[in-house]
Amino acid sequence: MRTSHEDPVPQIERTLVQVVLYVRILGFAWMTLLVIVTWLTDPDANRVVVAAAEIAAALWTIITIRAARTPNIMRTWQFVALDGAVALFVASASFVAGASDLFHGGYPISWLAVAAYAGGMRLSIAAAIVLAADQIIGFILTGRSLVATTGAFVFVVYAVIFGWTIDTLRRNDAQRRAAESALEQERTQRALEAERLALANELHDSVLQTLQVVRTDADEPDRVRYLVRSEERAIDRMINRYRHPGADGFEAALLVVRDEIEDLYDVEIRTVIRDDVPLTPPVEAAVDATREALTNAARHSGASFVNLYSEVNEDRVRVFVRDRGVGFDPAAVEEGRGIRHSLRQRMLDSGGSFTVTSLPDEGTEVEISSGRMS
Amino acid sequence: MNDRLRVFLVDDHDVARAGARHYLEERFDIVGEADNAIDAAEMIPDRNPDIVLLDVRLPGGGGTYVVEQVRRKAPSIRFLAFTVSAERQDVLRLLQAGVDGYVTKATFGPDLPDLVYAAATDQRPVSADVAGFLLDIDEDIVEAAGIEKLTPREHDVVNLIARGYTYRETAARMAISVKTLETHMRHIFDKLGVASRHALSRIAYETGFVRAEDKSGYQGEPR
Repeated sequence: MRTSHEDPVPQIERTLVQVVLYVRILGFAWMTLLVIVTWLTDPDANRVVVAAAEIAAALWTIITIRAARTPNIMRTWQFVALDGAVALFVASASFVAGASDLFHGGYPISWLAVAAYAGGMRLSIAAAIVLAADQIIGFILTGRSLVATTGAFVFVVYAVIFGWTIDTLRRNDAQRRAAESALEQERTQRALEAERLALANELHDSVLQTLQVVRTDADEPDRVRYLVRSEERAIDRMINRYRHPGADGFEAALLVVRDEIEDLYDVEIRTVIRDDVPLTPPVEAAVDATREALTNAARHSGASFVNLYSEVNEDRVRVFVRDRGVGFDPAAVEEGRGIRHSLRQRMLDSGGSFTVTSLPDEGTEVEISSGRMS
Repeated sequence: MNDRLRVFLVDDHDVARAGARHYLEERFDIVGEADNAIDAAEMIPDRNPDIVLLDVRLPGGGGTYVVEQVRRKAPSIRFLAFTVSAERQDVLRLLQAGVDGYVTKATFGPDLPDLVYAAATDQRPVSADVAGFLLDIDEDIVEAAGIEKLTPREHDVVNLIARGYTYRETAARMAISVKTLETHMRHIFDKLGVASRHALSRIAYETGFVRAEDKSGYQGEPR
């Protein structure tokens, strides 16, 4: 699906259409000036024809302003043809009205800009030839001098200027964009290359080297178990880093704690972390509490593994640390002293909670809930 | 005629198959092994195991392919997805294909026979990390999509399993029978199996898979 911010009309086309629009408005203003002069000073000019030409030019100028909002409309042959019909009518009006001087001003020229925009230099020159022919016929029929007729060729000059300018701008823009996309592609390629190298190096430095050590130490099960587990964690972190580049929030902090405790107490911590959130103060307090809970489980439970689970729930982080160790009777443990007390107090102070559920011989579960994150 | 369950192993790693065999052969009959999806799909209906221990990523088509092919010929054969992959897509695909359990190899070890037995007897075993995924899927379900969310009871079941409770412990803690728990698990698998199809198509979209295809006909300036 195409997202809405992708603009189907390139910037260059919007700019060109603006230029065409300015030519049209200026051409019309110039014509309006001449129409006013003709109206006031030329009693021979047929007023109906003069007014009709002015109104037609005004209406079509408004239509052009509207059409410029969707530049693709202005590039259709229908628009160019209708635009030309109006321009030809305006250009012929001076002759039909019997005015002593031409009053079409810059309006016909603006058709050349429209044609150049729609079809480049070729179309603008074709339009200029049509206009010139119209003028020459008009000059001849109204019996003017042959020298005046040559003035019609000014249209061809304009057509060349418009056509050449628009074609060149478009070509340059296309070249620039092609160069940019080639550069972008190369950049992506290089980034991929670097990523591949980094991955290969990392695999070599960690996995391969550890495996070699494992092979030499194969007859020491404890050492092998330790090496394999620390390697598992290294790979876990690596995967995590590749999946969530730049992440240094709750999840990363919890994994660091897990590694710390596993190393210190030679216990396996089976970890499920469902959501990641930024490390705000209440979340940090929960991470610290988790460290204590894991330490207790590792030191006192006697279990070979501990489960660590965390989720984000209604603006709070919840962590569960569960072991299947010896457990204890919470009621028998004196309240108000030691680590459990200080931890609980700290969690309460930050708006959270710290709950221990334990039964002798069934293990212990600690539930840590952080204070509100926002 | 003995009543030991018949197990078939599918894994492309020889070491993993050897490990699984080591843990299982005392209690089950290993009736065959395959190291790719195509051989597996062909051999399994002939060997007619009760349950297939199935790796997710396989040469020749992946675990989903095996489940779909085998189910056509032998719908009663059960599958336990058993894999190192805790990738979201893999869990979703296999759930959708209709596996009877999904455990990651983090649980590899002495527990394996129990897990195989649980999957063979319709208990729908999942490991703690997969249970975490199930909760994620449930959270993503949009009511408007016409898919049922888990009930609060079902949610509690999965939550306890994610926290490291066994099925027996979960049942005890919720004061229900293990049979009731198994019924919950079947419903959970059914619901999330359907939900995973929607989740999968959204993941495909988010990872740019869909967008890339749509763009092919597009000629404008990329911004």
